Amino acid sequence: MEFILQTAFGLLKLMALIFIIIVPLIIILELFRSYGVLEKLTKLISPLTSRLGFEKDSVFPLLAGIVFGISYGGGVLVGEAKKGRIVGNQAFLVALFLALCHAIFEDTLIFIAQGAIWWIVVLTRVATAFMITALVAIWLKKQGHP
Amino acid sequence: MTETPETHTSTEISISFKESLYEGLRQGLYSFYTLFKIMTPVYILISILKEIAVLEILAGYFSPFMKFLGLPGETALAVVLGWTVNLYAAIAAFAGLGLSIRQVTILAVMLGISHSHFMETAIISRMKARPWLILLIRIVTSLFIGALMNLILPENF
Repeated sequence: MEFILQTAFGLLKLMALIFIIIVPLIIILELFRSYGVLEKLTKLISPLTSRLGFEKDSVFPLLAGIVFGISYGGGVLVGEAKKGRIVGNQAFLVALFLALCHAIFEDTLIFIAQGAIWWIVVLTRVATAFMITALVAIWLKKQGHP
Repeated sequence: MTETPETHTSTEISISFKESLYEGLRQGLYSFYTLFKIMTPVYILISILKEIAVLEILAGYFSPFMKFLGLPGETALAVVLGWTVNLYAAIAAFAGLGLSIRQVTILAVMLGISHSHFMETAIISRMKARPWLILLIRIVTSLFIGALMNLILPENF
């Protein structure tokens, strides 16, 4: 009996935490999407991203994936690639970065609720994605792929 | 299908705010429902395994590997569920284990880098971006970063 009560209480607490994170987060992200917040942000940070070696048209799918998740970012990436705006290894590098680092708000928040330290999680994940993508980009260049 | 002509007036903008608020709420509740369906059985199963002391036995097999990541053997199940199902299944699997802040932080980074591989590899293959290479990079990076964090992070915080 004690086991059942304990499990039920633990489960209730867990699901309550997930509820108060997920529902407001999805509402905020939906508002972001309908007001084109990321389109504006893309323009704002374009001087920085071009210095880092990202081509202009790959920044939006990258940001979309980092904020909204890999299926949304991936969809944008496929769309841009079809229009011929992202060519060659750029598409692969965006996909690689997104695979390592996406849905950063959602993933971080649900782990914070379990006790994780948010800045370690965010910094380590973003830095890792940057380093791995940069290493692979250098390797591809050495292989002679444009 | 008939198309309604689009007009842009100020009243429509305020309606669209309400509409996207409603749309967000609908999506949020639906997502919660799908997560609830995954997390509940996982949490109950892990609790039962712990209660009947089977989790301990399983943990014994995994602890020689997990100790390199600074994690107890019990969390191996969470990592496997994270890799195959998703992060929510992983969280349901370790939520009842009473992990330390350090352990949850390591798990958060490792699982953040590497998770939901069946679903996400399918998404990446649609991007025509060498999905198997990306899968390999994710798993290797996650294990490497986990071990590195275990070396760097102070023992008690």
